[in-house]
Amino acid sequence: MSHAAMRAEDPLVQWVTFRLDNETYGVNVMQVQEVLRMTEIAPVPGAPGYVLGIINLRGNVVTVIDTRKRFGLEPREVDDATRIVITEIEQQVMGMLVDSVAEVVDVRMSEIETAPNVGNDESSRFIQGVSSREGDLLILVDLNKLLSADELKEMQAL
Amino acid sequence: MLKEISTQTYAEPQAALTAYLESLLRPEMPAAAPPAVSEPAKLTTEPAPEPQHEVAHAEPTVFLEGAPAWAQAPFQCLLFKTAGLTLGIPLFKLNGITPWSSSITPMPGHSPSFLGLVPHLGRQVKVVDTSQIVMSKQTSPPEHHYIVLIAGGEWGLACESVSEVVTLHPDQVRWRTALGVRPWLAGIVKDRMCALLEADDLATLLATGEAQSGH
Repeated sequence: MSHAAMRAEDPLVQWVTFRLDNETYGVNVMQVQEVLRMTEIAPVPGAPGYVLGIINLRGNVVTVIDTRKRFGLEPREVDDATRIVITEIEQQVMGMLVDSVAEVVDVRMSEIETAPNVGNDESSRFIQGVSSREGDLLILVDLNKLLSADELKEMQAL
Repeated sequence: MLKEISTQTYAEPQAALTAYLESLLRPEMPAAAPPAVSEPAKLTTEPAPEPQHEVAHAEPTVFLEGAPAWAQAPFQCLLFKTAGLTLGIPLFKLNGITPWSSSITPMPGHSPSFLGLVPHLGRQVKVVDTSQIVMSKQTSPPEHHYIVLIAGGEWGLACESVSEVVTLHPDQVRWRTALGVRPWLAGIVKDRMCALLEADDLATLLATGEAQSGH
């Protein structure tokens, strides 16, 4: 098999990495539109618990979710490193509040270990897999499964 | 007088542990609470209530089935401890023991019994809190000092301590029968006051999520 054919079978995917607590997560770069510094988030009365509120992004209203809450982590004070990662999920633009954004890394598909899901926890299905990077573990998030179809509809209605 | 008190306080947890271990073999749900001193004391002092008669009556049916295929001859077993309960795993089902690692990576969105991933020999071991798997409730959160590896090293059972390797004769084990509702339990070893794990079935239960309820 030629080198090119091997490369085609083992494609390279770029991931934007961000930090929550002491862990590093990655989301597919193709679904990341931009990364913003912390800005004023206007709360939305009656919004689901995982929604922090909305921001005005150059005239467009973007819903920002509390990623820590979604991942079952304790809340944390916003600081200079806090970022809002603007993503596109199912043709819907959504912001994710994260502790910090690190870098863009290249990961070959062969370097991804399958999702270490345990049992039938619905909420854990957004973990696409993990990849070892220089001694650390990069947890790869499948943005398309971060919210259920009902939750996406709920967000559209905000 | 002091000696009497000392003997009594020692005997109660033993009785509690025996009651708990035997409850694991019973077909009904849920299992008795893990060794809490006050409840087991009743079990030792009160006359046997009707349910115990039922169990005693059912005993020949429930416990007389023989050992599994892997235990037709004496076998060696590693004993380890979690949350006060001693567990045993046959050595040929054991894939290794590794010290507890502070580099464990928790996975978001999972059951609390899933502690996370630990790198070991080039792979990520899925580590579970053993006490949450085998006990319906705990008296105190366990400390984790070791990880017992099973199922080819895919799963790790976090535990407090690893004690010794013992040789068991099949007759020393009260084997779980088809009536038992805990596939992770191979049987109990009264001499050692421990529950013998069926590692392969436990791994299957962990993978399907059916082992998360403490039964």
